Amino acid sequence: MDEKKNILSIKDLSVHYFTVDMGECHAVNHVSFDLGEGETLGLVGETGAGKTTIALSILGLLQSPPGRILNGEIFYKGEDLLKKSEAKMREIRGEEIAMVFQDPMTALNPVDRVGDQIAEMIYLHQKVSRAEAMEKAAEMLELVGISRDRYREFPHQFSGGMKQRVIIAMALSCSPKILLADEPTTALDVTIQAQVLDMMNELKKNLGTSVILITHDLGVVAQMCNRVAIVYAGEIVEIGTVEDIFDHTGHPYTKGLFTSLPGYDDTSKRLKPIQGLMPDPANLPPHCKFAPRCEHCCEMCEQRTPEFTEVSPGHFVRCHLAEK
Amino acid sequence: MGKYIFKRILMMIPVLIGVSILVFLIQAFTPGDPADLVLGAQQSEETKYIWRDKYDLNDNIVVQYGKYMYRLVTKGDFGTSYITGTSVNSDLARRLPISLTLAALATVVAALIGVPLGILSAKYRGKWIDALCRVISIVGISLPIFWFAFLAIMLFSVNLRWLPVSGLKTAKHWILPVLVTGILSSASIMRITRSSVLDNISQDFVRTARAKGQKESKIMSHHILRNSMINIANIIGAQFGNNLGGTAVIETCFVITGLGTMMVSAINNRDYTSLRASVLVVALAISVINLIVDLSFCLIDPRVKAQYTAGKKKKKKEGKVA
Amino acid sequence: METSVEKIEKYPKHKSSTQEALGRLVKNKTAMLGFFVLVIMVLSCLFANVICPQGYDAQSITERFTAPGKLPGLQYIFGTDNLGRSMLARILYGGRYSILIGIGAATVGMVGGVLLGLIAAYYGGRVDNIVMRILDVFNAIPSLLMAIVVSSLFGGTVFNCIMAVGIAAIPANARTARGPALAIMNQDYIEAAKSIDASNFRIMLRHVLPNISSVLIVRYAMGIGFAILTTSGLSFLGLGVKPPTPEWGAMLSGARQYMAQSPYLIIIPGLAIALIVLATNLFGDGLRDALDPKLKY
Repeated sequence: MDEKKNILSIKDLSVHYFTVDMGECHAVNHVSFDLGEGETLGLVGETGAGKTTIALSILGLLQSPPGRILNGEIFYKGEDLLKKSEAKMREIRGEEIAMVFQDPMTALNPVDRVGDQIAEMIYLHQKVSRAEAMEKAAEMLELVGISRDRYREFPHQFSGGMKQRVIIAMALSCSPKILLADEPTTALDVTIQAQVLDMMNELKKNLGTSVILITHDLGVVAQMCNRVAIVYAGEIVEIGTVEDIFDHTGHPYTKGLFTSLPGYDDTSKRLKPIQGLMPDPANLPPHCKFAPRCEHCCEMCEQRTPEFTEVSPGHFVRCHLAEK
Repeated sequence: MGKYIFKRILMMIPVLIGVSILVFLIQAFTPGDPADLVLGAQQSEETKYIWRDKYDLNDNIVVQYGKYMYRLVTKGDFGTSYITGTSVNSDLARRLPISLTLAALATVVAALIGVPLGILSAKYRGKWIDALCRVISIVGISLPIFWFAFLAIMLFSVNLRWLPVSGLKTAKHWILPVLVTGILSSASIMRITRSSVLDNISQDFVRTARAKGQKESKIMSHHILRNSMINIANIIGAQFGNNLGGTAVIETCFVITGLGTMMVSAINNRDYTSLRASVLVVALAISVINLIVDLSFCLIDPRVKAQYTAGKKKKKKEGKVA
Repeated sequence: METSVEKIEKYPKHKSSTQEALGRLVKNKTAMLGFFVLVIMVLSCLFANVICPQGYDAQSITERFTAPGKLPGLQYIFGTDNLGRSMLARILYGGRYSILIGIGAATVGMVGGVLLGLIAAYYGGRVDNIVMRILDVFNAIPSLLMAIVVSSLFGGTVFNCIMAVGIAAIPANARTARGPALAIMNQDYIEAAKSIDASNFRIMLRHVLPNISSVLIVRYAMGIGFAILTTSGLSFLGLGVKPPTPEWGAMLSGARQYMAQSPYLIIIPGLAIALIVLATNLFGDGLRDALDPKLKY
């Protein structure tokens, strides 16, 4: 595993939102992680933890204002994406790094034919004629299990699951090296979820794409990911392989995530939700961000920021308990 | 689609009937005998009776309306003027093209100014160019058009002597009325364009387009604008209606013999036939414009078309409101 | 044991949405500029009899067509007209009519429009259909034309002007009220109110109206400006308030024959109209931004 090359590595990324009403929001704070070739990394965290902001920063699609990348580097193929010009980034977007957005209902242009929206992507990045792009788009539709007869239909004629498949087809149409999937199944029914995930797995295997899968669903993570990063209040609090996270959980927050899930084998236990709420990103706790909600919180937690400690090879935890 | 157009044209009929009843009621509600007003009260009852008979005014209002509509529908006869005693059709035929051309040209000017500036304003939201456009547009919707017209006349016709003061004899005569109306009416178009583009600029599908690596200029033209077109088409249609309805003012300013001045003199002379005819014609023109705008929605947005072609009447009405 | 009331009081006090909106409004510079211009104009028109005790009709044959600033003194600040009357006095007294008609017409248009719109939205079905078809008819007649037609019916007095301009504004207002009211009618809390047998009147007044109020308030503010504009247009055509009542539009219309030699006779009344309408629109725009922060444009 260690020998594998990293296709993407993020170093010390900090993103803040500057808003009039709420002040400066610390959305992403000193986040670092690597993505190996062909690997699927899960970014897990609550709504508002900063997962989507990380993904948008990678693509250079952060709305600015209010968002601003204060610090950090995002290396893709050895080059810092944050230093690239807008024109260079446009070439990377879609062709090298593609994104699947959270809400399929709004992510497609309502007045444009579904097939044309896929063809637009192909035509942009590949040296093909319009007719070839359309043909390729029709093939992509079939690849995600939609009949090519529906090429000329509009998004409102598609169900949510089908729209999401169209978006996935679009994202994969140029065989990107990295796929950023932002909660690709959250808006879908459970049965459709499974279909979409299976399809993504299949396509990923065939195309050799690396995936960053953003989700708050640990079940999806178990099914899809090689490695997992747990994000809390804009920080990665724990990162490791799926086995590390699921079987040797290190961080109290990660434990909290598991105990607040119903498991089908231990129905006797009551669910244990994490007390309290996510801290206000404009006003984060100074040291351990999780301290106010942590049942293991001690004096040290409020005096010193915990180190990112490697508890076993490749498994890091940001907690004083792990340091001991 | 053809079926829908047909249906939509049929829907205009009750509206026009409604307008005709409305304008007919004007006379019914106005106190006094038209004969007194036109001939003078001192005339003998017999003279007045004969005069009234000529205009069917001795019948009751329903019969009057029936006769009027019968002549209008079968012969296209808009009635006889109380003042001149001749058919108002010739008057209409002379004046309507002038007012229609004026309103249409002004609306074209308004759209040519308003849409690009609105887009620019939205694109550079919060920058100086946006601030400037917003100032221009809010001043534009606040100025009385006749005042703006007089200022323009004073500057360009009286002081600089570049353009004629009044009338419509040559192409040069048209410049001021068209520009004055067009510039003021561009303000509303600018405001709606800006807000509609801003509505769409933060939509998810725009982010999707960016994630595809699409150029900003293409995103604006291909994704944002196409989604804003419904609102823009709507306001351009509405502005045409306003410009046509406002011809009375602009024609008075520039002493143009169009429908507007026809209405004003008809009111002053109590010539209800002329008033009725001119209001009806304006309403007809506006109904046609509304029809065109509605049909353009189908071209712009497949969802609208789907509602119509599926024949879901209920949905259509709700869609219109939203 | 704490009582529940004490518990509640422990929570930090949040500003009500009205207070928040007010706060945003006060911070909006252009809206405040509009507000101050409005206040100054309204106050000086209200105190016209103090500022110009001679009234708007006092003539002075020797001082006809005095350009602004030619003669010293407050009364000559805007010059005099063709009859030697102080323009300042005529503008201030005339402003009373403009403001009165503007507010009156906006009120008539709003009350009528809201009533129609609410009834259509609330009862739906056939009632809605009938109301909407009637509005379709009015939709085919632009509001200025409508005002012209209505005023031709009644003749030019202040009250008739209010009615003409107000009635002309009803259809647009009814549509504005109906749209959001229809959306509210589909909400569950209306169902809840019906389930506890609240009266129709109560539901409309307590549940529907407050929830569409921000749209209506903005519409009302902008409506005043629009009504002033329409009124001046009517008077300009000679269909509104008749001379010698010093209505701004009528003053402008009367001055057009002196356009070449005394342009200030046209510039000043027009400026007065433009300024008050601009001020209301700036204020109305600010109100919209303040009441609906989602729509920041």
